[in-house]
Amino acid sequence: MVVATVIPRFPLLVAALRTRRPLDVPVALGPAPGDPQVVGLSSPPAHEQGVVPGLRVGEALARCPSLELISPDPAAVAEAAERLVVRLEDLGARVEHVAPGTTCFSADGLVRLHGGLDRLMRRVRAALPVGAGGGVGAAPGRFAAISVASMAELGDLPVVGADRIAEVLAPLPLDRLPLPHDQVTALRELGVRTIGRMAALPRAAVLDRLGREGVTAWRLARGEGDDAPRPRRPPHALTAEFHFPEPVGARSAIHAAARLMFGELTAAARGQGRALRVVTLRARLSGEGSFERSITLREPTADPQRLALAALPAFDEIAAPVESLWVRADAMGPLGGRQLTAIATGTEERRRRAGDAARQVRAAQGPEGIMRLIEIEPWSRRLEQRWALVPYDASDHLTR
Amino acid sequence: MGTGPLRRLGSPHPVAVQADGDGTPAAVVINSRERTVVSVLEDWLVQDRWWTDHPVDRRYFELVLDPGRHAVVFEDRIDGDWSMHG
Repeated sequence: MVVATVIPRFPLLVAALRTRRPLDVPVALGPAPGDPQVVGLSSPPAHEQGVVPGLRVGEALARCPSLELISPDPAAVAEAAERLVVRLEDLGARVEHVAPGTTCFSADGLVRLHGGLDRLMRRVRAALPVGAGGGVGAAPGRFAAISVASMAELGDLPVVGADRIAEVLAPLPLDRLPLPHDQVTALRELGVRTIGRMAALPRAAVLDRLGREGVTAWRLARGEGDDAPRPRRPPHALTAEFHFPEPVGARSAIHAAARLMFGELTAAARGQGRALRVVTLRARLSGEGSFERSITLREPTADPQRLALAALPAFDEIAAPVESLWVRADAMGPLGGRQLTAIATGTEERRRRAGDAARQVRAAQGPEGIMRLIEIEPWSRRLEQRWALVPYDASDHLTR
Repeated sequence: MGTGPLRRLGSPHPVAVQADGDGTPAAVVINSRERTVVSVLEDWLVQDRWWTDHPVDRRYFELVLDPGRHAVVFEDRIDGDWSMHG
């Protein structure tokens, strides 16, 4: 049996909580800085007035003049989703994180531990954030369990056996199936609007019209061929954080702070004998909102310079002043798995010597013995905003 | 890692200033010694971050002090305090 949790409108819920806005009035997620001017998830009152994700902001405000837009906060959403996954892992579950607020895990081995499926599901429900309106459901497969959890009424803990899956899924809208958007649209135009109508189609017709993907979805609609959860491997997470004294928009200052964090993370990874593979970058923006990008490195590395080369361009997408930066890296790769060159180049040799010299100066004079001058906002009319000193980093300087 | 590694240059520090009737500095106290203002090279207003909870409203003066020291001071027009850069 698979147990699933679904918290509807999770990103909107988190953003509304952070900005202390209620969800029983028309609110919706607005566009992030620099993104297309369309709205995201909307509260039930806004949805009733036709405000749906992807609608242009102007059109949304025309349909619902009292609509209030909230800045999306992907960093807070990721933090809240991670807290939920960790709480479920604390119950002993090997959890798959399907989407923010949506998780599933196999209950095999946990049922006896918790004294029955019902008790386990009660504990899962207790692990959900209070007042979030999350549902918990169980079914033999991953897709069915998530679908059942999304339909769970308040206070209800539905468990659906293999013989009733098709019947329970039948009234759900077609877009719940893992089908491309254009195929869902085409099927709707043909009058197939629910999972039940899809399940009633002949297999040969589905294969002919929609291909193998369509047959996979068709089998799910009939309660067949469902997957087991694909649990995440608990990561060896390393994190670093940097708070600016005041919001900073200058690229050079953001890069300098990021390089410091990369140096700290790679040193920590080397200390564990591992290399970094997946790096998540977050920035809390001035006022409301945040920025988040996740980067998977082609090869694991513990070299701060290579990490900077891959990750720094992502920070250039930030379109608002930054209050703080946060970097998380999963130290999952082997250290020194691949050597790129047999002979050190002149630049590498100079960098190594400069690094040694900087370390000796710091050892003699203290941590601030050797610093580098960076521009923050050289055009600012406030003198203290123009320049700053950061610890000297040889790898940064000598590649220019 | 906190804010430690980044250190701003030219952060202002509080200073005692004697101003004349129109608010122009007449003397600045540096290291417990009163330095007379020989001349005011320039003065300007800086109004910034008015859209936040911490607006900036300063009147700057670039001064030459006796016996020839150069200084940039400003009056915070919100709380009335004087500060000096450098």
